[in-house]
Amino acid sequence: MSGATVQSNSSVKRLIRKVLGWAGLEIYGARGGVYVCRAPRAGRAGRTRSLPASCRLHLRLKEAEQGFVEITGDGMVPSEFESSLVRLPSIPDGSVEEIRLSGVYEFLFRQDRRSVILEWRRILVHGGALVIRGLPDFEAIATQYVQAAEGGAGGGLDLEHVLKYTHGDVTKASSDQLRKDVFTAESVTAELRGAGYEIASIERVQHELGESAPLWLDVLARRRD
Amino acid sequence: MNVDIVPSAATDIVTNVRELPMLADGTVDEIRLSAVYEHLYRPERLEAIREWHRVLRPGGMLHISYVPDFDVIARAFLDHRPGILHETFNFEEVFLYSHGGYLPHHAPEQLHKDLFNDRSLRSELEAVGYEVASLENVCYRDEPIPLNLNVVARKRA
Repeated sequence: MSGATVQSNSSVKRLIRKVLGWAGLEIYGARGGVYVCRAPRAGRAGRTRSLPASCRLHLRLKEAEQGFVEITGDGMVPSEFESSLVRLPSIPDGSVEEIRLSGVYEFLFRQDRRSVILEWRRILVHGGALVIRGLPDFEAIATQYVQAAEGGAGGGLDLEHVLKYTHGDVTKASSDQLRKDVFTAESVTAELRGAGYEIASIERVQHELGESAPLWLDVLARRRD
Repeated sequence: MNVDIVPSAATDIVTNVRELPMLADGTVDEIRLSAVYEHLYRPERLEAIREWHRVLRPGGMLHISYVPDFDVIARAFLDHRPGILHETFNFEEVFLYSHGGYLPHHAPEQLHKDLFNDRSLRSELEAVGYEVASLENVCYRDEPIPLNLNVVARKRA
């Protein structure tokens, strides 16, 4: 293929992406096909709660994208409500100092996750913190697995151990308990930067007793202005 | 016979593939799976291989194609091998195999629900009464790395 053809192909692709973008859609090439789907987007504030000047959210997932939102703040009685975590219309724009997640990020389907980080950005104050603890670090996990398989000084991760990190609880016939993606420091950084955050810190940590190596990522991101 | 949960012109029996009450014990010569195995939840899969074992005649064959081999995937990732859709075999490439690259949107059915290697496949089939006739790494279409496992298992006579 000549250089000119490559260039014209990529400008056609850019044009198609642009046109689909106007319609709120995006296009993917994946194994065995090309797919068009709804582009990730933030929600809008609807009938909003009145919140104190400084409040923090703690999010936990229940099933699919539904979860619990716990609100704490100076001078307020902590409260909790059930909601979609992907759309939080009752939380006003730029009103939250910190969003802390427990078992949310990796359990959302990829498209929901890419929408939700835009939604969380909407409700965070400028410089507000997004705290993601305990994201399985695929690079560390794969390293431990391959080293163990080769009889080296690895952490002895066999396939069932790996699965616990990459997929979670596979004993139930439900996708709610399954982790839906793989993560590396590089992938999380790119995804959050692309959605308007800066990475304040990203560390490899041990979260569970008996782990011979740090297999998880703790991420602190801040809303970029 | 083509068995599918979705009715179509090509479907002979519309059913969940793990329940085949319309087929009597020991009546089927061969079962072929295409993109089924890794999409079932583990409890469903273990139930299904028992059901397929029931309907196969002794010596009947179960062909399972293109099950992602995590041993090859992990090594391709760590060794930065050339990718299928990207320059290198990065996390996006891993996602295609480990989680099924389920796009476009919500697609629990597209999600890969488990990880496999040659040992795990062999042991779960042997545990329910198959013997493994062949187990080999193969490339899917024009992929350059044999990332998948094809298994032929025989119901023990």
